[in-house]
Amino acid sequence: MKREVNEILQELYELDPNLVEKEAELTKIISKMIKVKPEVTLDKQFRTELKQQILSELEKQESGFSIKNLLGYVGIFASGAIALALIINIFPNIISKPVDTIIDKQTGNLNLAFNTSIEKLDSKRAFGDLNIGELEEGIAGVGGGGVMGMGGDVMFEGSSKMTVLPDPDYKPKIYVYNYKEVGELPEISENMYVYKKDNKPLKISDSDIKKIFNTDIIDLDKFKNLGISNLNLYEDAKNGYNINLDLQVGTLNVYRNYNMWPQRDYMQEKRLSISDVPSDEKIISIAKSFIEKYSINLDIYGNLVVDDIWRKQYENSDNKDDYYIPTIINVISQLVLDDIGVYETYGNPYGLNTTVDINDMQVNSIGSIEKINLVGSEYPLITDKDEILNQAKKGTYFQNPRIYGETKENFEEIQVEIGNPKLVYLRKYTYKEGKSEEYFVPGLMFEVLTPSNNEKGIYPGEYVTVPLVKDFIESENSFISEPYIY
Amino acid sequence: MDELKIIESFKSGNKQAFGLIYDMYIDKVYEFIYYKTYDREIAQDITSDTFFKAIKALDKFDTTKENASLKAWLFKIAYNNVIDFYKKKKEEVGLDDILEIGTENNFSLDIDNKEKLKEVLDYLKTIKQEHREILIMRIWDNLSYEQIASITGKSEDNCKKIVSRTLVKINSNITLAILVLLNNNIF
Repeated sequence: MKREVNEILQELYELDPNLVEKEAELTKIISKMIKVKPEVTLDKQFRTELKQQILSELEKQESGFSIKNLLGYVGIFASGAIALALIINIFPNIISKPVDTIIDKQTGNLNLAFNTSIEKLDSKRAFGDLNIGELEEGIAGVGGGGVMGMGGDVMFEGSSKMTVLPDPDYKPKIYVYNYKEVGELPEISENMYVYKKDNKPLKISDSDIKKIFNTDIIDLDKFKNLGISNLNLYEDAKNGYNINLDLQVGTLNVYRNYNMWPQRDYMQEKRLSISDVPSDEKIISIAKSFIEKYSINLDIYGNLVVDDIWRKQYENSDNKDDYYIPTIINVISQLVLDDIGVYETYGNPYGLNTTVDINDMQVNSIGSIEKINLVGSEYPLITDKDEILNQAKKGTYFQNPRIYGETKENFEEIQVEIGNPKLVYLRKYTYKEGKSEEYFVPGLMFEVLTPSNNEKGIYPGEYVTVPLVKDFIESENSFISEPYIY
Repeated sequence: MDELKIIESFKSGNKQAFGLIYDMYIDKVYEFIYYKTYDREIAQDITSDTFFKAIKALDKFDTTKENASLKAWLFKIAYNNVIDFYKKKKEEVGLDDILEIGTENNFSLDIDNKEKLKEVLDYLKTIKQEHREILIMRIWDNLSYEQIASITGKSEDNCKKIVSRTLVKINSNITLAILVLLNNNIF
């Protein structure tokens, strides 16, 4: 206690040295205050249950599922005398049946067909101007913005402006990306396609819904034009899984039904060390067995690859003993278009994610299994090396904060070295009239060579990505001039 | 352990890393809330709400910010939740009211701490609410002035001055009564 009291006193003396004269009295008061601090013990059961709820919620968020969705359907399914003359065929149809979701008139089955299609159009610029639109400004603010009003952070003033809160000690970091040439840029064909995701909702008609759901608790006939947005199924068996089908977006996610798995005491679990992590081959084999067991179609995906971002961070960490080794490892089956891998703009492969819990060496979740319908069209690309590198020097779009009315002196400039890029497809969005559209566009992905992520609090990202479509470059540059500070 | 690395791991997709954050802070957050409610069930409800809000907002936590503090960030969510709770109860925000409520049995004081709490609360009631909260954050919650400033929206210097003045005031005005109580081991 003495050290604690002294610490408090020293802080006060810094403010007012005259307080030293009252040290005896102050010491007594502070000591007594510490002594009368009420004893607080958190209920162990509450602690364990809350943790399980939170981890379960996170798992659901990862798979695009939320408690709110579930509650909505519990309300329907738990409402008494419901006759469900419904047979739902899910997994087989993902690979076999080339039709959208409707009730089969002959069998009465609900066919949920996840047919995949990729169509290449002859016409160029078939989707009109590809402008990132006004909404992405707000989204960028999420990535680079502040946290709940904490001092000194970069915050929005409005939808399109940011300002720096008055904390004189805080200097936002600005990353300047320098290209280190160690070879040629990959050859870029001007005939590469831009693919637009053109998924149609899996619609079940109002009349079919009213045939399926026969309940005496409410008169469904009085509701007009009913639809189904989500279906949540659960496996009532040991080590069972939940299945969530989003009919609007056309995605299916499978994740553990935690009620049917052994309850774990997270407080007692030992932290993993690097030697506890099984080989990539072993993790992949677990994911592969699961995928094969449930006949999940991987035709449009590449090989299973373990997501090793955490391992890179571990290797770069100053104190490896302190590094948190994840218990859930992600295995990615990357979407491949025209033999080129698809990536998120922040550098993660985009595709099907199968997570494996290395505590029990079983699959934790898989998702999102997508109904992918793509339409391709050619768009003008930038192929000039200088133009590409000039774009790369700015970093990935919105890597840096956009700040108005400030000068460079108010920022800490971090020099980052990036190496040779590879040709990829990037997942991009446009926003028109409040609606988003999803595209896969040709791009280059440069690996960040130095400094390492999180080295001395520096976080330049693992990759810099540059979309090659002129429309995107122009619209992004219209938001970022010179290149960071307004 | 570098909590910022855990946050980056969370942000890069390893959502289960939050389990470690939970283990690190669940007790501290609960205590922080308890000192403002003195009721186990209410403190549990607000703690639960705090962590669910945290998982929604953690992706926005800026780990590159100098002196980024997860503890202060979590406590700020908790602090706002406590304020929201009392606003919802249509009570004027402040420990004064909480103390009144406690003594009037509108909320049940934690039975195990009841006697001790009552004395502590009687004592704390003599201090201005705003000053008392900051004093408790420094002495009971062991928060730094930087963290208290972040949570309350006041400057660090101001928080220090409040603690200093409050302690001096206690010393000059009510020392005798308090020390009599303390020395009689009533607490």
